[in-house]
Amino acid sequence: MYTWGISSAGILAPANMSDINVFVGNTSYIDPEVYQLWLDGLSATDAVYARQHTGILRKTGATRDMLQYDTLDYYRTFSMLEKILHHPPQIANQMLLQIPPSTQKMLIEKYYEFDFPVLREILGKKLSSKNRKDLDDISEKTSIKLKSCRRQFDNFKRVFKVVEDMEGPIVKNIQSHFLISERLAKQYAAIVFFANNRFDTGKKRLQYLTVPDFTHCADEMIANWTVGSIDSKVDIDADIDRDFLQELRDTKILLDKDISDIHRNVVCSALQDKMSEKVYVDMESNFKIIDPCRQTGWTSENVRNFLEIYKTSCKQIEVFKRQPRLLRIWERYMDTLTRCILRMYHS
Amino acid sequence: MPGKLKVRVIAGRDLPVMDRASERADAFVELKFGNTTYKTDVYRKSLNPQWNSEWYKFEVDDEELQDEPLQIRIMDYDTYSAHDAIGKLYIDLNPLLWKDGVVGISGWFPIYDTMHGIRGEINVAIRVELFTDANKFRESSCGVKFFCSSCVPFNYTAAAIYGFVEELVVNDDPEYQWIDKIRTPRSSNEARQRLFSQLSGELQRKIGLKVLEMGGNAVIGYNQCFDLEGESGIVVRGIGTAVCLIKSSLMVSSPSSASPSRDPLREMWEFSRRKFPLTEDTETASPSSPTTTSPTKLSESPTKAVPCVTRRASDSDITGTPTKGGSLASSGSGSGPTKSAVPVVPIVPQSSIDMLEYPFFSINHFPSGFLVHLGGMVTARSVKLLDRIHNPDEPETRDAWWTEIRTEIRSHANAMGCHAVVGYRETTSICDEICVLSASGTAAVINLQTDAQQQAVSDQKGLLTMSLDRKEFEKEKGHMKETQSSSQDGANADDTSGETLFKCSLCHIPYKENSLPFPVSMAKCCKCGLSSVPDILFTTIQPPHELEILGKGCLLQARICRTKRKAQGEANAALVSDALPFMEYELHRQLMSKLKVKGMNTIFDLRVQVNVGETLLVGVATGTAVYLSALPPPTLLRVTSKGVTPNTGKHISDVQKKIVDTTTKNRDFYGVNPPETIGDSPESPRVQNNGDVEPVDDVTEINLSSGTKETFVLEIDDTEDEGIVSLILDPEIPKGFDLCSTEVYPGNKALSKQLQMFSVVYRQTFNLLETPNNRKLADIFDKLIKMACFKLRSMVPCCVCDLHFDVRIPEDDQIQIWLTAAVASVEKRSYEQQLTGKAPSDSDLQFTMEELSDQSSHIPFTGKSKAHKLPRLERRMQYIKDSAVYRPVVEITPLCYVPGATIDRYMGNINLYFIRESTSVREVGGVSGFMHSFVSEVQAMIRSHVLALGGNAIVAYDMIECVLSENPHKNQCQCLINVTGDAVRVIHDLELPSFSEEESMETCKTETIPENIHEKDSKEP
Repeated sequence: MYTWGISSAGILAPANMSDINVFVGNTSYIDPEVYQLWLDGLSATDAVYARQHTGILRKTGATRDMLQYDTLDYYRTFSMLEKILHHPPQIANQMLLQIPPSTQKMLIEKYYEFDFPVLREILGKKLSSKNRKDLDDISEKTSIKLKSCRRQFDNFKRVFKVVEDMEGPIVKNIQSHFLISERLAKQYAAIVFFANNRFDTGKKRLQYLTVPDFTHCADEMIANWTVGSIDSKVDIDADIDRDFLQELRDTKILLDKDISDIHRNVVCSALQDKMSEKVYVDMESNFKIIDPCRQTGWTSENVRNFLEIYKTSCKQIEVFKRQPRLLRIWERYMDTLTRCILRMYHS
Repeated sequence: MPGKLKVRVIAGRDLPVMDRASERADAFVELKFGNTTYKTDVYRKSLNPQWNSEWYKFEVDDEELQDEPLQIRIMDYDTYSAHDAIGKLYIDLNPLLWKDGVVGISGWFPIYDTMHGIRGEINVAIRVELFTDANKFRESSCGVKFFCSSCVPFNYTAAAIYGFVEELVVNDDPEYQWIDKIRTPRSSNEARQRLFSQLSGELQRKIGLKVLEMGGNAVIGYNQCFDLEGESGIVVRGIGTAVCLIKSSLMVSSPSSASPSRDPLREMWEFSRRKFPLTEDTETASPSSPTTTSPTKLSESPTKAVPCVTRRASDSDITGTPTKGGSLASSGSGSGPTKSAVPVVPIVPQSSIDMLEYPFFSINHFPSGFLVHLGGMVTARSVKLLDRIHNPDEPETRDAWWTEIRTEIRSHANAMGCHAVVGYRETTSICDEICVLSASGTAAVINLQTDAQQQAVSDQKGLLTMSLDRKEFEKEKGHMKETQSSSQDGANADDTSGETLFKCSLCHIPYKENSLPFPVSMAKCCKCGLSSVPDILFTTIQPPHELEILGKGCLLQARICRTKRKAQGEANAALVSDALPFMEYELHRQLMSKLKVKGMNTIFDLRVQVNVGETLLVGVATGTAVYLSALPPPTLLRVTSKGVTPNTGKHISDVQKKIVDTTTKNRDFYGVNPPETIGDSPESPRVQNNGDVEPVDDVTEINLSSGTKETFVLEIDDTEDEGIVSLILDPEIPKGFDLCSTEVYPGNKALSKQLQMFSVVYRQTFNLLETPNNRKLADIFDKLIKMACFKLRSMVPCCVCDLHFDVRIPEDDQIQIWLTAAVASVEKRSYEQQLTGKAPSDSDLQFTMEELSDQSSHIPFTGKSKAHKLPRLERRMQYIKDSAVYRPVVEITPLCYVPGATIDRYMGNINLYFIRESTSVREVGGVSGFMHSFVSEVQAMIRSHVLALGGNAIVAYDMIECVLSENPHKNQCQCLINVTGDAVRVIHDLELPSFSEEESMETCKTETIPENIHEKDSKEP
């Protein structure tokens, strides 16, 4: 399926196809630098150039020929490894290559690393084969080699496919299936979360957001809005708690003209004590969040205060007073939203 | 019906997707042995099937068990059409037939397909129950152990060495059968793989019968190869050294304080001698089921558990035993090489060397006292025409050919005053209908009656032949007195602890000086000054521990290629025959010159390979050069020219200067500056050194002047000769590397930990316009070495040892080289210290002192003892650090031991054949890509077989055959690889219990040690 690997002849072919120079050790030691070049999508020839630039020939007294054969050895090893890397737990079982455990870890981790610019482009897009074909646009835009883009795309897709319907905490699932670090697993969790819940991250208004912003938000949402977050009962982590969404609908009453007005008044009066006049005026005039806040030059402290009051002020509204359940839902919604907004609140 | 084979299929994992729609497979397993086939249920829709089958039972002959592999085929079920093959697995059952061997084979094996390579893994468990069969006329030789290791295996004692065994089996090559035209490549490959396995089984069985007949129970230094003759068939040849092995009950690693040794191999011999005779378990013939006869407890006890006390105790064992001369006192405790299957096997005393038809020994490491004198290298070659075999299906013709060669070798040895050939090897090179048979070895005078055997014999009741042998031997000694004195020396060495470590007598010539058919320069032994020694010594064996090496040695290689006219049939054979002597001569000349430039005087482990192509002959000689302190310092290589014109005169002196400079540099680099020759001019050799010593032997008085007459001179008359000069000056070895072809470090250091084992497959196509010449050939080899060093640069300082080059000429414009070597770290300490390093309480000092006392004062190694003592703590800390460092799950090494580890147990001989074919070579990265995966796959298969036998290393690993054929136009490629070795379980140095536990948890999750097979079974759901 993912045959973009380096097995196509052009990349691996030495000068003379019928010449052979193959070095196979009982233990496969991997040069991380060469591995990185391969991950970056460099062809073997380009990798030789790149290595040459490090002054390796001078330092070791090797010839260019030798460097090329060495690089090809590594590239062949990587192409053998690649199939295994698609199912990382196999790397410990497989017998084809004997690799020190520390190297195994490095190989997996690096293979699943991705470039933020690439992810930013892919995020929110359907991981379809059509979009895979369009990767050359992304490659052009990000000036990251197409091969590397494809690897990343395929990684996202692979992780997504494995964990999308899986029960239990999503980060743990990714870690156990792909043996990557928690840091990286969280990033993948975000991707899966966004992809699964169809967040439209591609909106123009969100363009300025970085990948860490998204992963942070996803992390918050996973932690608070999914079934797994309140219930230790096993469930799918990648979906937002259905009941919660249902209940959240009830808080829509806030959008009712009447209640909304009451809420606004309460908020405003509460804010008056805390905020400067100017801010208050701005706030009053448009009740949207990030963009306006930014336009009016709020500090994040301002935003925090506002959101806090926005949240708590509901307590004073009659409907919420009558339904403590509603209030709970509201708080669950607002707590996470606040943290997300605060994170997103930067230029 | 003397055996029952039981097989259980447990599970599969990571199978390939066989059904695109479901992305799964419906796998089942077919087991086949002989004519019986079993099938498991189909495990549907899974890539990780759990069959958990019952035990399938096959009732079989032990003959079959020896010959046939168990065939396991993994299939994908298809309701409508034929089932698709996923892959196959062949399992050699011979390790299960060793009486004290492993109880079962169990573990994960890669599923191998000749067209696709490895496709997932399968977990199987196999056991064999043997029943005793007292049939005298049986055809089987169950239980005879085969060791590729060219030494007496660790933990064993050679109670007797019976010498040369050989056998050859001939068969049709399935690749050349008519049916091959209609069957698929896959089935053709499988038929071939199966046949190789069967032939090798049959061959071993036949050799085993011969061994049993001799009274032995094992073959060591077993060497097996396939001659792919093409139309005339496949010949499988095996040679080895028949011995009677007895298990030593104690571990090798217990340091023998009484006699320091220089390498682990010697340690082993020393040990076995000392420990013998002890209780041994092989006696217990349990007729019903071998599964109950667990291997001897003692063999499982970990190395370091052996306290010094035991050593002392065993030492006292020795004191009671008779001294040399072998009084036949019986001690009654008849221990011996009894095999349950053999009705009566008395301890056959060592047969006399003179009674052996071919007194050849395929081993390269020898027990103390075994080697008496080394004569020199002997070689015989013969060119044969394969299409002239009258009866291609019968082995007679080939048998006759080899008999011819062996007879010649024997007579060569005799001419050198030697009655034996050690380090013996046989090879072939085939090109179309031409087949060049070669045999080589080192002529030697040996003493078969090692102390162990003398004891063995003395332990036996009423044995007599011994005395006869003895007499024979004395007679021989009468001939050459120094023989006696030396072996006396040897005897003394064993009785007293303060003996001389080194014995220069090994180098003393066993022949009369002028009795040789060719001139040899002689000198008086530089150590004792009593006997004559040759100025240069070429041998095929590993450096014996008795010989003192000055400084360190290095890899030495001569490469020659010659062009030849194209011809057919007999004319072609004649051309080849005519060319061979010249080739031989040139190789020799190059070796000699290079040796002198290195400033050394001896070559060990010399292997000469001659390859025939249609228009090309390539000869490569590889060995390890050292400076033996007993031999005279090598003279400088002198250059002369006959056609002297004013210009050439100047030129010659330039060349001479270059050679002198290089030689001086080399002498410094390798530490081979003999004190007395520093500043010596090439014309004044070392005569004065020993001129005044009165020789005591009765060898003809040496004419000292004759020694200098034959000084090696290089003549340069034309440009071609000038090329020779450039050829003998090797490029510098990259810093931090020691290179050698030997299994031990050629010098006074030890290999402390194996860091890597690697294989290089290299093939180069010559440009059609240029004729290959010596320079180009040399460049290829130099490049390969440099390349390997570049690859290993992160491991320096290290020693690339057991470096072997296998050269082929697959096409006339192509040269293929196969290189294998082990890479190990080197430590300043010597071997005995390495061994003591394991036992925390052992006195290091003791050894150092002893070793020092042995080193004569004029050797520039004196300050060493302090250096040894000082860094001890440091060393230990280094060790502890190292043991935390990664260690491969399965160690593969071409050496017969694992540096930095002790062999605890031999699990069985491994002999595997693989054929791999591809019809999409370009898509897998060309031939290089194809070969890279194939070699990796082969190594993977080896590792899995070792693990399944309960081992964690394979020693004496050798890639015997690697035949690659290619059809670029069809995008096709096919390769055959044959690998062998001995699966072992090793205990790593300073392997703390916590470490080993951790390691086994971490790395051996999938491994099942056969002993636990029952537990495992019960645990399975």
